[in-house]
Amino acid sequence: MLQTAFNGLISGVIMTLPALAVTLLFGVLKFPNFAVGAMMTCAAYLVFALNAQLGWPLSAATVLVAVAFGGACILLDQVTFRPLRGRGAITLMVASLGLGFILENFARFAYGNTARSFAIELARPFRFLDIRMNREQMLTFAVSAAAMVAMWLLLTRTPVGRAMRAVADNPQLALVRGIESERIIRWTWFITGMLLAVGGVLIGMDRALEPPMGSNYVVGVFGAAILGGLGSPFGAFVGALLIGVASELSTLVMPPNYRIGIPLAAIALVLVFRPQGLFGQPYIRK
Amino acid sequence: MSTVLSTNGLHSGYGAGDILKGIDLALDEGRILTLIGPNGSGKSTLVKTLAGLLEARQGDVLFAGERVNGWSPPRRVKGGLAYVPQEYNVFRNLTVLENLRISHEFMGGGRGELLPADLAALFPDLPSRYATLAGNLSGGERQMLALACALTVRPKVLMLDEISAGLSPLLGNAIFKTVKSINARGVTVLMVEQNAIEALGISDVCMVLAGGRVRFCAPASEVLGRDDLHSLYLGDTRDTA
Repeated sequence: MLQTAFNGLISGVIMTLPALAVTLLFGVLKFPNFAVGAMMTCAAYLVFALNAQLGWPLSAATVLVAVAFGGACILLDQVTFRPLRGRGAITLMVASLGLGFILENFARFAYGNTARSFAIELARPFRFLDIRMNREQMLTFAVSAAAMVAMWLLLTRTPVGRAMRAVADNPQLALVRGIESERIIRWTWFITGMLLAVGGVLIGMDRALEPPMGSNYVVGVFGAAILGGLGSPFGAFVGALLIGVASELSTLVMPPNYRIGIPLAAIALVLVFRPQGLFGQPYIRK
Repeated sequence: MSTVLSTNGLHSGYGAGDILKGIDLALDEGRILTLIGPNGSGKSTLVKTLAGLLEARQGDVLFAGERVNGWSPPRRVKGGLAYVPQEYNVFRNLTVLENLRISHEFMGGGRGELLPADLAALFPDLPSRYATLAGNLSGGERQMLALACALTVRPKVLMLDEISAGLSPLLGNAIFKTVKSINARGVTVLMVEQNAIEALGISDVCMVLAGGRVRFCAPASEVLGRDDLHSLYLGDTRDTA
């Protein structure tokens, strides 16, 4: 039971970064980006190329790819989403589905369907309070926690972070308070790209690298973001942990392949009883 | 006295049709000009166009001697043309301090004080509310915060869209007094108001809009003395020429 809960906690922690990326982007651009899964896949393969094929240390490869992928996301936005801005959330959502399809198949063309893994040394798991844990899980926990703290500092302590929250709160008011919203959108995509790149690497460390690796997490990630409250970074964090633990604990009472039902049930319950999620603000169309 | 903000033959609107149909406006430095008129006359459309939120389809917008038609809203506000919208005029999920700070940072305030000292004196209650989320403020407090945010870099012109809307008469009067004090500190003011009598009481000039056109423009004291004042802003403009 304790071991299952711990495994669930790690599953939840893995989802925190992509859930944060989803909620950050939704807050500023008001559309659900369903390309997050494929974006994580592409970033993970780029890290794989540097790490497993060129022999770079995983940490250095991740840092470089995170920054580069942040820039790539700005480009993807300029090409895919910017021309469609102002046409409503549904249009942008459909565009994100198309983009996700293209990116995932791009990874498939490049690396095929064979499962691969990063070049990291295998280490023996250790026990703490009768819970078996391994080095990758600890690393996942530490990286996610550090990313969450960095995001909190960014959003509350820097002008760009405050501007992102302001644009998310009221884009038109932000304009007349001197905030260039396109600049803030570029920053949002850059940070989203970095979060997704690191998220992709954490998934790749937990599982194997294969084209659908990111897409497999999309339902869980959206469940976490919606449960926590779309637009609320803290909510995304709590939502991811709750979904992770609940999904894992559900395997004690039902077959593991039904655990996908947990985030779906969470989405359904939230939409019926508390559409703004646990920590989100009610969305009022003005 | 020089003109700081003016328009020539300004057309603007939403969708296919124009709401403003050739507005000529001139606002002299140091004055308070109040726009009144019936609902749908184009008052809010005019200030939104001046703020850059709506495109000028025809005509010119001139600010501090420059044609600013192509300027984005952030560029206008950094140039000194501040605007307080009618509703949703504070960031509700940010604290009072964050609202002031973000306005100061992005309106071009640099590293100085959040509010110039003489203007900060007009908002003595704000510091005690710094940690409060703006969405949790009362209506009057919220309007005061919105005013303070627009003043963080001492604009040349402050445009207010129905700043007293939804407030009790007592709070409304307090807001108008604050606006008068802001003007006394050198900020030119353009107000859209439904509370015409109170607004004209602090104004120098009154402009009446109807059907997207200027019906007339006169000294506020003169308009305040007219018997037909109510009909001017309720929509009956037949005998105003």
